[in-house]
Amino acid sequence: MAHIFSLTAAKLFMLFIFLSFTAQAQVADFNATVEAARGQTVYFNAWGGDDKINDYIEWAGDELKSRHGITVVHVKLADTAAAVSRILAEKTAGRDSGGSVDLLWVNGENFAAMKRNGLLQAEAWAESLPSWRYTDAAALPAIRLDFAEPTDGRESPWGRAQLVFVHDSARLATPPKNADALAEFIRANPGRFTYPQPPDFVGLSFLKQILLETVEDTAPLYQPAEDSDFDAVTAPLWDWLDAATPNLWRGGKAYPFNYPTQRQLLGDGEVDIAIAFNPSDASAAIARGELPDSVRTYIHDGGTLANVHFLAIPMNANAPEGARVLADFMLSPEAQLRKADPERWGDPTVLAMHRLDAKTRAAFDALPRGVATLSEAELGNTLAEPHPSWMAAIEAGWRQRYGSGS
Amino acid sequence: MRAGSWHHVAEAALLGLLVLPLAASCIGVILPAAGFFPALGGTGLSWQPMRDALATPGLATAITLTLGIALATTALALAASFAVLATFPGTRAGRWIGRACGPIIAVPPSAVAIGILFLLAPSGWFVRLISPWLTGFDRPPAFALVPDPYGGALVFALLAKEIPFLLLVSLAALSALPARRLIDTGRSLGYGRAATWIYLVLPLVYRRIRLPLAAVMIFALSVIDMPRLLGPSLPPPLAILAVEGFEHAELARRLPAAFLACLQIGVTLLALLVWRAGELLAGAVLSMARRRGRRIRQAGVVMVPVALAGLVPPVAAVAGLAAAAIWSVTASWFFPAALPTAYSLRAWGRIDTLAPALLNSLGLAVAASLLATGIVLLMVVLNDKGKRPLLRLAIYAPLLVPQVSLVLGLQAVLVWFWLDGTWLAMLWIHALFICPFAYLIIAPAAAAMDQRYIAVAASLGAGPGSRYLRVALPMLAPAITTALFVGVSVSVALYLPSLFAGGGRITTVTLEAVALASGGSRQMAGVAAMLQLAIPLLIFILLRFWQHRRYGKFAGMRAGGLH
Repeated sequence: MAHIFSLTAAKLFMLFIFLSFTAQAQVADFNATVEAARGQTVYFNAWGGDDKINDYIEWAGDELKSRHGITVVHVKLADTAAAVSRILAEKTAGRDSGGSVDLLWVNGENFAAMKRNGLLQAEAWAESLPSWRYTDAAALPAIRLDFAEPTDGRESPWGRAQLVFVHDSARLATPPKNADALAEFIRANPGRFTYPQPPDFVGLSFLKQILLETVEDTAPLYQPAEDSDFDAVTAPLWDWLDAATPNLWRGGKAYPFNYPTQRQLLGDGEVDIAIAFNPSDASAAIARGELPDSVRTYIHDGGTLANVHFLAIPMNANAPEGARVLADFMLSPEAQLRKADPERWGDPTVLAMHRLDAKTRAAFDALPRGVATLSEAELGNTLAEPHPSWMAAIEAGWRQRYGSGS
Repeated sequence: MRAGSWHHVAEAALLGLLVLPLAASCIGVILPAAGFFPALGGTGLSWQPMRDALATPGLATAITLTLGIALATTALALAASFAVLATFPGTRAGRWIGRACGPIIAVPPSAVAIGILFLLAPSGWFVRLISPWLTGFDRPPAFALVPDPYGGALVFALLAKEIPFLLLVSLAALSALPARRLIDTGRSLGYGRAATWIYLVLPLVYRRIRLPLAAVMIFALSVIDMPRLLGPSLPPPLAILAVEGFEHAELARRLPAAFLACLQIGVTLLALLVWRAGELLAGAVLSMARRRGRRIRQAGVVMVPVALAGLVPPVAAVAGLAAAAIWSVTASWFFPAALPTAYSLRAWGRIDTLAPALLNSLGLAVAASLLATGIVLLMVVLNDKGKRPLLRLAIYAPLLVPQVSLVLGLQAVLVWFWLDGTWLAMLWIHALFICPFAYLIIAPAAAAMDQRYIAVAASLGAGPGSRYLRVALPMLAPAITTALFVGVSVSVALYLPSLFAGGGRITTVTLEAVALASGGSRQMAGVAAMLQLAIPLLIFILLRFWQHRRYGKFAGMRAGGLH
């Protein structure tokens, strides 16, 4: 048996050598990337509507400047699609390098659109980043599947999000915790519920949430929408909305512009429930004095939509090396820990705890939770995002039915 | 001044500077509307974008809404500004109103919209002030007042900007007319003050402000940032529908959006035609009444309430800005408290992150206004006898073509020439949008300039250059300072053109303000509104001070000043 053992040991040893060699080669590769990135300016295009996030990005930029001599400029977007449009305009003009966007905060529909239209770097770069080793795609498949669309290593995971509902416990003690109960609540309390107007991301996510809760069989939702009978699959959603719409805020003739606007309506007491895609959003709003401290969050009993957001490099990026170094830094345990801190941002990490050293794990465990934030265990109940094609189809259906306000 | 060959060179350069980008941007928007867009696989012409665009839910409502908003804004702004002009001339109130116009038109539209929202929304300051003691509300009322489904709140906010604007241009027009003599004549024939004004002065003033009036209408048709805060959203006005298509994650949506941008030009023409028909009708009625010698004594009775009503929107805008100022130092302020329950300077503490945008806006506003004013002064020389209608049309084009239609095509052109995100592009586009305003202000002043001064200078032996520099320019100084000031306000307020030309790399206060407002923090929106105010007001004070020091002694010779 000894020789078998030694053979296996030898194989293992060779495997180990091979692995460490490739790992070293990757590190060497990445060192070359870091060298090439020195002196570059990275135009990081990211939604700029939140001070905390903006501060966090500024911190990351300062770190990259002092560590690697890379300048990070945060281009504050009102809408991610605007940057996608710009890249498309550049491609139209035949600009294959020297583009205006180096790194883009993106996921779902925008990523799918970029992938489909050839706006991404062709190379699979994300899984060769040194920080990738702290993730575990088996435990969190969503870091390789962006809304059921394979990432193909062309975007690097940055953070996690989950749909949560927000209510003021002083005005609404027991919130409705499933689609049917919500329908009943809306019927009994006209004008007290609304959702952000599609194509707003959170508004569409709410529609997907209701669809996932009301359909008999969710399987078709994870395949391209073209493959199924759209009207038949989505009928329960439209039934639900047809019943609810007349009793929505403003009688369903107007909707809040986006989720922060809806949060204002909750703060003003115009509606009883708000929706957010970040579990710690309500706690942060309480700290800023935008919501009363009696506000709490909850999720539906059957779970709520959860997804991962990413960083992508466009095909014509002017500083692709610098962009990779920034993406790698954003995925590092240090940056992820700071990002998960509700004082800094409160965006859940994409790293796998069992891949981290004990000290970092303890630091994650020790993070404070805001007064209105649910625990990881309470949040645990998640629903995967449907295929991105459903988003466009649902939006078109919504516009057809409710888009003219009559 | 003799038209030498350098005139032709300058004219060609100006046309190139103004007309080329316009022509190019037209192509940039018409081609995708016709289905030609290689990056998305559209290599041939097709009707599909048009069919998709026409199938947009609520399109008919959106068009009706757009027309209604534009016509209502223009008609009401005209009526109110004329009533104010006829009611308060020569009084202390009149002088005060005239002086207040400048600062109010300097307030960027998005800041006005933020202010009106903070004041008049169901959860706004006004309802808070009277709740719950008067209204009994412990929650904001459920009626949809601001924003409302009919665009009323939007018209109100537009009026807050346009009434002072029309007043300012009317005052400038009036200063070139023998208004007092006309009114004295009318009164000596036994007509009332209001009737005299309507019969004799109004038609003359109106003739001189038709272009600014068209600009008001086209702005109301195509404005983006105000309706996003105050306008209806189901469906929104046409311009918003077009921009939404361009910003949509589904990239193919930009083809029908390009068609909507073209449709916007059609709607603009329709609005102008409707206005022209109204003009002819009103003119016929007026001249008939005049010929029959009607005394129209009721006019005086109606005029005063209209004038007072006309002051309401600008006053509300100022009160709204006060509300924005309070929000900027608020820690928490929940309905129905009349004032914040806790104050904090936290939002102002974030001003350091806005500093680059502030500096960019300031530099851009000053440079672009100087450039545009220089171009216009050159044009005034070239166009001194009104012989070059093409040049006039070119300079007005940015006002007369809806921003959406212009800017979306312009982006394609800038990207093509690698100019997007450069200072050159920003400067150019800002100057392009300032030029028409500068021309509106300087051209009438130049036309009204007393040529005898020039003749005197010539008789004293001054050559053409010296006459221009040492006599004409100082006489135009008030108009030039007004143009610079309006230029700064226009530049600071430009949203869509800055967004597209800046390519995200050059940010401005208004871009930051709109991005921050999307984050839903009223505190930050308040700070952003205050910063948007800061630059134009600073420039306003500096220019007034300079003009006073430098040209105060020529007060009797000037035309087109800040009043």
